[in-house]
Amino acid sequence: MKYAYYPGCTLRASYPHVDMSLKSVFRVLGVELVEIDDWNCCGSTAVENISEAVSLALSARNICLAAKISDTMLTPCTECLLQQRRVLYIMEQYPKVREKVLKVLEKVGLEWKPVKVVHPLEIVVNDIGLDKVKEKVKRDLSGIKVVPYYGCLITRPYGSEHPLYPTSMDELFSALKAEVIDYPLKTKCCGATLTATGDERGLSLVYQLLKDAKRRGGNVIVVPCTVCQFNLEVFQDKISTMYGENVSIPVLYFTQLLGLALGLSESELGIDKLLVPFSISAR
Amino acid sequence: MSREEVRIGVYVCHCGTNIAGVVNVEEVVEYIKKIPGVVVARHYVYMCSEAGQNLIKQDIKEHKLNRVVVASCSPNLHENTFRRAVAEAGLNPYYFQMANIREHCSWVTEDPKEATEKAKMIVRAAVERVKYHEPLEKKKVEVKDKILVVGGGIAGISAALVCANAGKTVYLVEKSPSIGGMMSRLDKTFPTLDCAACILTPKMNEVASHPNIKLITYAEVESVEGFVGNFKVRIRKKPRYVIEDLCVGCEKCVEACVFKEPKFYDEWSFGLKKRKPVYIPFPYAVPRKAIIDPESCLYLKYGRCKQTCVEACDRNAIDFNQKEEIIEVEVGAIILATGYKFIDVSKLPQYGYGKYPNVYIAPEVEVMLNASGPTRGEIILRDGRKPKSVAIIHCVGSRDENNKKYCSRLCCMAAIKLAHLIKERTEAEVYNFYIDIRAAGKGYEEFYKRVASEGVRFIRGKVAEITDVALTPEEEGKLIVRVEDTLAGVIRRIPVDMVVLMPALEPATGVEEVSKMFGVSVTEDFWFLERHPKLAPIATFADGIFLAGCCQGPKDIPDTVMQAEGAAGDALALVSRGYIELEPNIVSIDPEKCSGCRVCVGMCPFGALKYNEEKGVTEVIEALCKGCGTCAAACPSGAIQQNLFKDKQVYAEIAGILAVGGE
Amino acid sequence: MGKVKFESEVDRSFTEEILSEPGGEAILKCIQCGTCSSTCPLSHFMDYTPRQIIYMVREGFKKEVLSSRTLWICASCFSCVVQCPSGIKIADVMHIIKRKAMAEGVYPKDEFLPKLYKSFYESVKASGRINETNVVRKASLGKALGMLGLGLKLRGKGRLSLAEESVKDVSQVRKLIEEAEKA
Repeated sequence: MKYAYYPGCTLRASYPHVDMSLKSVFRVLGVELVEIDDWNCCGSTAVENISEAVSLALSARNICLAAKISDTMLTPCTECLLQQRRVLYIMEQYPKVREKVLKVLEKVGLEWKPVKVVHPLEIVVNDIGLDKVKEKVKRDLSGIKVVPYYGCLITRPYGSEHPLYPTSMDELFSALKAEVIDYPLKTKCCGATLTATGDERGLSLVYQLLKDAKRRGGNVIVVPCTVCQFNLEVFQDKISTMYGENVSIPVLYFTQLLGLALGLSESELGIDKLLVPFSISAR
Repeated sequence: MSREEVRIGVYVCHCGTNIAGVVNVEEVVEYIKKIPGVVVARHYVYMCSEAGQNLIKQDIKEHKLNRVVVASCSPNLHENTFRRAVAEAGLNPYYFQMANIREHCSWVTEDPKEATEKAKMIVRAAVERVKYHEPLEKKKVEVKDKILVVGGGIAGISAALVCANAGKTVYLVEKSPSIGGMMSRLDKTFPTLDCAACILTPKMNEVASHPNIKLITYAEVESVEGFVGNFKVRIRKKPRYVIEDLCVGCEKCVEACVFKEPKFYDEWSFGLKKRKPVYIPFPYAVPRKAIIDPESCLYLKYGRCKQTCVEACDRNAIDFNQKEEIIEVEVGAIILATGYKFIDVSKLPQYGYGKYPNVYIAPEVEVMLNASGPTRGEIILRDGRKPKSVAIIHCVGSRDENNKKYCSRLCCMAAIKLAHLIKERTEAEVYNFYIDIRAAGKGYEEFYKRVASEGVRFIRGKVAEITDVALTPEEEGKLIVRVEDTLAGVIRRIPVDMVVLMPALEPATGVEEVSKMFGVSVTEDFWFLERHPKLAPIATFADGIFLAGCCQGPKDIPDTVMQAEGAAGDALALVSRGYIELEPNIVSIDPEKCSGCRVCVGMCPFGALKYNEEKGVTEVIEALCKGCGTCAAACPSGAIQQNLFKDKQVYAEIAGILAVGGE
Repeated sequence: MGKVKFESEVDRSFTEEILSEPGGEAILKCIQCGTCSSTCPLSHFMDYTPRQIIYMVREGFKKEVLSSRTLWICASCFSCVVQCPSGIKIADVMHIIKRKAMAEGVYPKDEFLPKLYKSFYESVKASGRINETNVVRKASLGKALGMLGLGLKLRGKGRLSLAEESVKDVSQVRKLIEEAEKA
């Protein structure tokens, strides 16, 4: 299985632990990632809020480049996932917009060829399958109380699971013998960019997520979204001070915890890069 | 077909100025007079009037006319009028042809010259065609005077009683072991707060004791054959393992059952109560006879049991060898009253039904309020507490493009009723969260005001989700409703002990099979399709089959009874005459020309064509044929000819049009 | 004059503009049920709830809509889109309105995100990629300095880079953006 890999601007700069753990886990699971040559920024909501046409053009270019490598593009960032899936949807549903985008692509010598855009979690659960994953488990996660927090964009608006109550990550970690906590806030927004800039309104959302995770007895929160990993992890001190409560709990990108179950080392998975430490032996 | 000398009378109507204002009627008459075959040609102000009709009758006698053409309005309006007039003069009414020079000509053409030319074409066409008309007779088909009612809820019960009181035999078939339907679960009904059982049970008992009603419970219709007036229906009655004639409903068998405690899912109470394998559905069930469920009865499932029930029954009514029964009946009319169910709310996980124990759906609360329910009418939560605050959520799954697009019509009033009853019995703070209050019926708005005056809180805002994640100490241990109070313009969080969801209505289980079996169409939401939404909401496109109650669309009890009695009226109108008359514009298939290709069979919207295996040709069931002409057009060998639209007649019509202007 | 909204203050052309964009015409079906506000995790911070914004757009209350905080608090989580019983893609409508607000330069001056979006856009236009830290810094030095403590912690873990990123074929990307801006 070969996928065109779209890391997104922030990945290696700010999320080396995501990039590392993703590559290590996929190496073990036999998935080949080929990075798209010269990918550009997806534009995220920033460009979408200034110019729809530019936003679509940027994502369209990435898809054209990915098509040269594989018929499936993989991205670990759910915002990038949203943007690429959005352009695919719009190109299919709005013929007038499609015409405009094709013209723009033509002017820079790019040929439109749609690809499938997927997230690593979907690859692990759907393409590889839990049975195959279970085969490769070296150290199961029994005793660890995992809180599965999906965030918004992996399941909506273009996901394949229930948009509010997905279960794929729950199933994955159940298969790894972890105790998966039933977490009703599993798709309640973390505040995205608002929170990432340290805005207190956004932080109030993170407070609720962390508090409830701890209340239900969670040892660790796993997330499939880079922004959620950031938002839920890096402001825990500030939030604890704001609300006068200790909300400290480790937050791992899901491939980091999955990687530990597959027997990979903590350094390969960037566990040492976490601000809130996590150790698999401390249960 | 003999070609005796045709003597045609042509009458061009002025229709006041409707036609004559545009078409030069005299010119048309002058033109048509000269055509061979035309003996008389007149024009007159209002042909449909008595005077106009008398013109025709007189001419038929005096001039020995054997064909008549009237050029006036649409046949939809007056074809029957003129056919009757012709018949009264002693001529076969199908020797008459109507030419529409109003809707097809004067009303749609501005230029008088053009209109007159077109009128000539239309009239000439009619004249040429009518030469090939044949004498036809309406066919009389005898009608069986028994009626089948499918479904024993309040709709089926009401329809059956009206038909039975008219002296007709009614077969009332009900799927579950007792009649009564959804209404049997209710405690009180809106807006009068009448006790549901008090108004329903007399009717149920009337059905049971009515000499003209054959009540067949725990049974389903298996197949329907035939056509209007002559339906052959096969009913499969499941075995109760209790002989109905002997059982008196004393319940000694239930007491004596080896299961000391009831532990199986009880259908009548939607699972709020449990029952034993042997049970009586509810205290006022009709028929009040025991029934044994083969899935949970130890003897029926595993062959091993002490059979204490048999011992206890001093009537020897239990028969484990009872077999299912096939009952075949012949009826003239069928009334479908299969009712409704609620949507599966676990498909909407955001409301927490099934996850949080104190989230209920409306039908469960109705059962709870019922004196025959699990708590004898008291509102007690699953954890044994009495709620101090209750949220009732309107529109769960209704008015929702992601679920049911329609409004389920009765839930606003049901929610207001539940609010009143819950508040009365618990003194709790009750909140109704709504989008709009639909209170259109008689006494409904007044009931809403009354309940609001009793202190029930009405907050306008649709609730998106129920959560148990508390943000403040007062919310701990409660279910929280986070909603936008749209009228005040603020987000509110309201902690409650109990949540009641008002789910959308949908057709009962099994409607797809029923629709295929009876040949009744369904809408995209699977409600049965009425013949016309405004003017024929009871009849269907399947002649002889009528609809009653929610199976045609959600409605409350008064509207259900209204429709059911209307359906009874329609059914009685059909069977009382003793016969029905079929229009003769049906098709006939020439077996010599038919190759048995069966292209026509699938095309018939009315199921009127049947392939005869033995003869290798397709045949017409004349009573079902509606003369739509689809099969005649499709038949590759021209074996199908339709009366009044035979090839010869149609070609003559075309020739007539083309002939004008060629002179 | 009291609080009366005269018809001359209502801007129907604003409504027409929003309606004409893909997804915009659906707002005519809004029954004002409030499901969107109920499910929106940030609605209690907004000056106008999502429901109110949709209604005001439909009626043409341009000033109130464009200058609301709501636009910049919305995190585009799409909960409203999933739940709306009329099938309105509310989050997408928010984006349409935000583009208008950015184009006309109308937004509360103390909201940071509009400035961030501009800085982000400029960086993409220049080099085809962005560096998060630099984009924040260029949008507001004060904001960046306010997050200095966190920044140092992340740097210590190798999770903060100041290196400017760029695509190799910058001219292609710049041309792409230019052509798209013209389209």
